[in-house]
Formats: sequence, C-alpha cells, structure tokens
Amino acid sequence: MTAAPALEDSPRPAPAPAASQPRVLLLGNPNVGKTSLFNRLTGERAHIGNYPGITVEERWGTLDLGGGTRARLVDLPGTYSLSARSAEEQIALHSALGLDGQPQPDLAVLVLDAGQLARNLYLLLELVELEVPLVVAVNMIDEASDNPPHPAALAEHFGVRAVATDARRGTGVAELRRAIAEELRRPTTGRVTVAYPPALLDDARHVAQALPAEWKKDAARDVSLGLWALGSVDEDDELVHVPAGVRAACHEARTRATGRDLDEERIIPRYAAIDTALPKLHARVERHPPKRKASERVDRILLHPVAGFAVFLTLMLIVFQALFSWSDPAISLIEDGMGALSDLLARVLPEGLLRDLLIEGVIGGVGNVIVFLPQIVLLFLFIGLLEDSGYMSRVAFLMDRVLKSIGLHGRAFVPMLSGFACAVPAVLATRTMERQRDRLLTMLVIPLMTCSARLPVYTLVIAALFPPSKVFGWLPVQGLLMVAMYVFSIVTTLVVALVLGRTVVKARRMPLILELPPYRLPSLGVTLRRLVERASVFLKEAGTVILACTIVLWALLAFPRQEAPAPAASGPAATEVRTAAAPAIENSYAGRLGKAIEPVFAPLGFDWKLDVGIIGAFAAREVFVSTLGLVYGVGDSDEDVEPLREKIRAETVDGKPRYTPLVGLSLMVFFAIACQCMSTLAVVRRESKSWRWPAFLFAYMSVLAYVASLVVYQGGKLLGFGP
Amino acid sequence: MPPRSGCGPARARLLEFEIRYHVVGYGDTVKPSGPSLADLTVRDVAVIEHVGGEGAFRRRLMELGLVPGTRVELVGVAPLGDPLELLVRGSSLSIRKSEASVIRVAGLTPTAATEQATGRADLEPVAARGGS
Repeated sequence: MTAAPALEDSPRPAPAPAASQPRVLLLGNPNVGKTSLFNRLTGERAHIGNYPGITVEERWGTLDLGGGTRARLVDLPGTYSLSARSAEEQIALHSALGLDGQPQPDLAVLVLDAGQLARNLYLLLELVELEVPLVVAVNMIDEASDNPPHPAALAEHFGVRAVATDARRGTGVAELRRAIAEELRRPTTGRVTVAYPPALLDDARHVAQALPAEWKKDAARDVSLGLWALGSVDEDDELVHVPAGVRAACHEARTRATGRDLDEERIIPRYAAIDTALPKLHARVERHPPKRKASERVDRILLHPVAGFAVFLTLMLIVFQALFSWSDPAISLIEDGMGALSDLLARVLPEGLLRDLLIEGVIGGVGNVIVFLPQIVLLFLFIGLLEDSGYMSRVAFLMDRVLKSIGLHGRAFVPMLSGFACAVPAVLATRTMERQRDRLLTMLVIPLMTCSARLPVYTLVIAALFPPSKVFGWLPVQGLLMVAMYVFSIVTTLVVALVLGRTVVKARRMPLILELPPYRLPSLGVTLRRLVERASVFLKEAGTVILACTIVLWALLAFPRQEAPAPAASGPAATEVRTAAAPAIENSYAGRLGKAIEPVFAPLGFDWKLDVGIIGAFAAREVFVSTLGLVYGVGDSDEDVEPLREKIRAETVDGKPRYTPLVGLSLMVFFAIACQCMSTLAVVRRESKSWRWPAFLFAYMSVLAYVASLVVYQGGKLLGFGP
Repeated sequence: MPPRSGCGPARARLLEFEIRYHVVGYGDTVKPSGPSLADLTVRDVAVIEHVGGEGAFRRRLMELGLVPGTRVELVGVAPLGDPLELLVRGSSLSIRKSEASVIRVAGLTPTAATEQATGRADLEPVAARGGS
C-alpha cells in the first residue's frame, strides 16, 4: 500500500496567531534519548500537566525556532508502536492524529536510535501511513559510528526530512531546529510502500467505512486507521472512545478472517519493508549485527552470577544507606529550621488561636511536606544515574526472577527497596515502570515495608514493655523483636502483592519487555532536571494535600479550646502538637474520638490513650510518640525520654500493669500494617490520579492491621500470655 | 514469509498449553512443532518460525521484530535463570522464558555470534531438545 504520494506539499493555512503556537510532538521508542533531545530543544524547564482521565503526564516546553517563532514541543511517552491496548497507550495515536479532544499537531519529530534502526523504523512506518507530517532525528549517531545510517538516504527513501543528532553533546540540534522551522512552513508527509495482502486491505477498508466523520481524512489514511483498529481493537482491550461502529467492524472482520492471521498479515509485511529499506540506509549490511562490544564486555562482569550480584548488592546498599542516613542531616536541618521559625513566631505573635494555627498547623504542615525533599532528591539522583547509565535495566534483569514470583517485575526492585526508608519517595519512584498496572500494584504494597517512621514507635514500645532479657541465654529479646518486625513486614508485603496482583489489579498476560541498552555515561544535566521536576510536582500536588491534612489534625487535637494558657512550643515543629496540656487533650475532638472508638480497639488491647496516639499518628507514624507524650502530660517527648516509658509502664488497671508485652506486640503489628501516613496517601493519589486508590489502600491496610492485631492479642490471651 | 501449517489462535493456545505442562513431547502429536526460543543454549542463533500466544500479547512480541523469518541469538540468561537476553535485529531485548517458550524456532546454528552471516543458507533443522 502506498500511503499518500504526499510530496506535493500542501502549505498549511496561514501561521496561527501568537496565542496558539504550532504544536510539535516528540515521539520515539523508549531509550532513544528523547528526553535529552527535548531538553536540548526547549532549554528551559518543562511544564508538566496531565492528560484528562489517565495517569500519563503531559510534558511540554517552548521550542524557539528563531525569528520570533515559537512552538509548543510536547514530549510523548516512549512507545514501540502506535497500536494500543490501554487508554494510556492510546495517547500516542490520539496525539499524533489530533483525535479525541487532543489538538491537531502541526508536526511530529520522530526520534530514532541510529544503532537500532530496524526496530525503530516500525514506528516510522506507522506514522507515515497515517500521514503525520514528520521530521526524523536519527539520534545517538555517535554510538553507531562504525556503521552509521545516512540521514540523507533515509530522507530519500521515506520522503521525510531527516537530521543526524547526538542529543548528549548537542550535535545536530541546531540543524534539527531549522528542519522543524522549515517543515512547519511546508509540512510534508512521507511515503512508504508496504505489500499488505489484498485480503487485509479489504478488511481495513471495511473498518475504514465505519470511521466517524472526525476520524476520516482521505481514503489512504482511512485505510491506515482501519489497519490500526484491526491491530488494536479486540474483545478485551481497554481502549476508550473507540466508536461502536469501528468496534463492530473490527469484530466482523476478525470473524470473517477465520484461518487467516491478521496480525501476521499486518506486521510481517512491515518488517519486510524495513528489511528492504535497511541496505539503502547503511553503508554496510549486517543481517545479524553483533551486540556492541564494550557493553558486552561490561555485561560479562555485571551480569555474572557472582561478581554481578556483588556489584548489585553494593550499589543497592549505597542507595539504601543514602536514603536512610545521608538524608538525615538535611532532615534535621529542615526540622531545626522549622523549629526556629515557630520559636520566632511564638515570641513575636500574641498568644491566641492565630499563633497556634500558624505554628502548629501551617509551619508544622509545611515542615511535614519539605521534610520529604532530601529523600526524594537523593532517590531521584540515584535513579537518574542508574537509568541513564543503562544499569537500571540490568537491575531489572537480575531481579526479575525474584519479583516475578509475586506478580511484579524487575523494575519494581528499586522502588520497593526505597520503601524501607520512606514510602513517599518510593511511590514516586514507581514512575520507572512503564505499565500502569505494575506501578499501581507496587504503590499498593510499598507502604507495608518497614519505613523509618515506624522505628521510633517500635523503639518506644519495645523499650517500655519488653524487659531487656535474653532468649537462649544470648539472644537479646529487644533486638530480636526489631528483626522480627522487619521479617514480618517483608512477608506481609510479599503475600499482599501476591493476593492483590491476582485480584484487585489483575494483569492481562503481556510480555515483559526489557531492553538492555548499551552502557552510557550518565548525564548530570538530564538527571538534575528530572529531579527538579519530580520534586516540584511533589511539592505542588502532594504538598497541598499534606498541608491541609496537618491543619485538620491540628484542629482535632487543639479544639475545643481550653481556658488554661498553653506552654509555648519549642523544638522541631514538624508534625508535633504540644500546646495543649495533658488534660486538655482528653477533651479535644481527638480525645473524644479516641474515647468513642475505644470499644472498637479494645479487642486489640488498646485503650483510649493509645487510640488518641493512633489518631495523631495519621500525620506521620512517629507523631504517635509525641501525641502519647501529650496524653500523659510528659510535654516535650521523644522516644528517648525516660518519663514517657515510665508512665507507660506504670499505668495500671486493678493493680495489674495496663500495658503488657502482648499489648505492645499487638500495637507494633498494628503499626506495621496500618496505613498511618497521610503523606503516602497523598502521593498515591498524585500518582494514580484518583482518590479511589488511596481510599482502597487505606481501607485494606486498616482492615488487615485490625485483623492481624486482633489475632495477635486474642490469640496471645488464649495462649495465656496476657491479662 | 515462510510457509507454515495450521497455526490459528486455537492451535497456538493448544501448543502453548502443551509446552507449559509438558503434555506431549515435541514432535509427538503436535506435528508442526519444533524447539522454542526457550530451548536455545547461550550463543545459539535460530530463525523464528512462529510466534504463539494470543491477542495483544502476541502482537507486542511481533511488533518488536520477533516475526517469522527473523534471526535471533540467545546472548545470555539472567543469573537466576530468567529472563533471557536476546539479540534481535541488532538490539538487545530481554523476555521471560515463559514468553520465549511460545516462539517456535526453525533452525539453530551454534556459536554464530562472531559469524557475520549474510544469508541463511547455513540453517539446518535441528532435532528437538525437549522441554525447558
């Protein structure tokens, strides 16, 4: 089929008014250096928006074409082909053709990896068939230096403008910019000849007749769109807004085509066309090009069963150590800064509601948000370097076997490992996974990992309720308990992932596709830029939710107001609520709520005081300690402060200690599982683009926590361990 | 496109089932079956004869260039046994064994990695090697 003998350039209507800049799309396979090229072309910070209804982010920047002309450059997610199975994958087609509410693009820049032309050309064929005006950037030309493709030959063969670029060094970018400017003035669509079987073209024409008016253009493109539908629309796709007529026509064509293989009829001729083109594009033809030598040599070590794992474990240890400890000074600095700020306000402002709101609600809330920044920045720095160097794919390759068994894949490893430090950056890190379903499942289990915020709670409970004795004469009980809590959390995570992956976020069987790109020197520029982008998205979108929640929680603990003047707040402000004195909290809404829910939590062994602590801990788990301090009137409490432990130990009911080790165990199990973290919920909402998933996350974790604690407490009592 | 005998979706599904559960040995009752990509040993080069599986799953594999007639080299296996690293059309691609087992290959040439093959005259059918 010849899609549009399209070189009879039809000039576009007069350049759009300044208000609506021309729209230029950036398309390409994953890992072809699209992001580097985007940065080179736009120069400034990217704008991040959202496509309506789906979780794909829309990134765009301003492309300066010289002479006062500007265009909007839209960076589309990397894709191997335009055929789609989900609404997320459909974005590529809709953007390229301006369908379904997407604005009509004026031009598409297709980025090809010069070293992997064969696979990359598939997308080129599809775009040319669909008559999308194209400029081709043959990128990474430096890496294909032993046998580079000739852009001129490519331009000649496909009838498109082609430029050789090296986005990392900036070579060819000026030329690409000129090509874009020129192409915008005189857009051309390419030409391509694919020898589809006549029967398939008949089917495509049949589907083309069913296209709605706004999908139609000319006969050739309609047939191409018919082919797209035949390759995408089937009984169990998750596409949106496919007209019912098209759906019916595809079904009909499929039913008629018994004995034929529509996918082979469509894909094999395309690769045949590519195979015909390749000899013309390269100086030398290799039917079976070998793997790049340098990368192969590195892989021999990095994918080695022993040496490979040694390197891998070392690198992961560094990442983990960074998240866990290196971020600490920065976190302390933020907390101290917030503390100093609230001290200042406390001195300057008159006592009253406004002061409390500012100090505990607003400053505390802002502190709650930016306290995550050090970990987010560090994690994305590492992820950027790992991704850019090509090692992240190797991590996925090494760990896939392990994660496969719980229904995930290798790319989930780094986010899950980060979950041991903090769920918030870990959830953001799920972006390294391409499939929405995998991201969702990973997000739903990450909060079960023992994050660092649980440690103060465990420390307090263990120190207060478990005497420092030894098991078997040498194993310290306290240390053993801490290890047991980690093991418990890992087992829970695995089991829950297994269950959720088979029920709530069930996956259709899709091949795992992992590219092992050649090793490259990571580019700090790209990494830093991505880091700033992620951090600002977090601040803007999750930060507001966290701030609002902090204020609500503050209000719960501070109202109704007490007559007695409150002691001034001091120290780190982040999340800590301490104005109200001990008796005040009992009458606060949180206190009343704690008492109201006492019967609910009584079977777990908790009393209302612990319940208030649990309510407070919703801001962040470690707040449990300070809230409990308030309840007991210990004031400025930290997990190391002896009085709180003493008070907890001294609490009695009918002469017997109120809190037994069994209560402590039940409490720790509750904290291990319950989703006591509004910040996690806020980022899950941000990343899943709906309140549905955070609501589900909260519900399942709460129910699970309740049941597990109930089993521990009641089971322990039955076995004669508790009161 | 090489000729192949009756491999509609139903046939492919049956084949996949048989391979997965080792119901039949290769060449037993399933006549047009040969070794799959999962049966290769490292450094083997083979030519794809048929891609099994269904729907979007199968389409995705083929769109990546795993179409009948394509030469594939098994470059390596992950240390834990899965996934496999393939070299297809000059690029490195990893798929899992379960996916590789639905891709039937026709001919094997051992250690052809260094050989810059220009044709496929060197291909000869190889006896089945049994399940993975």
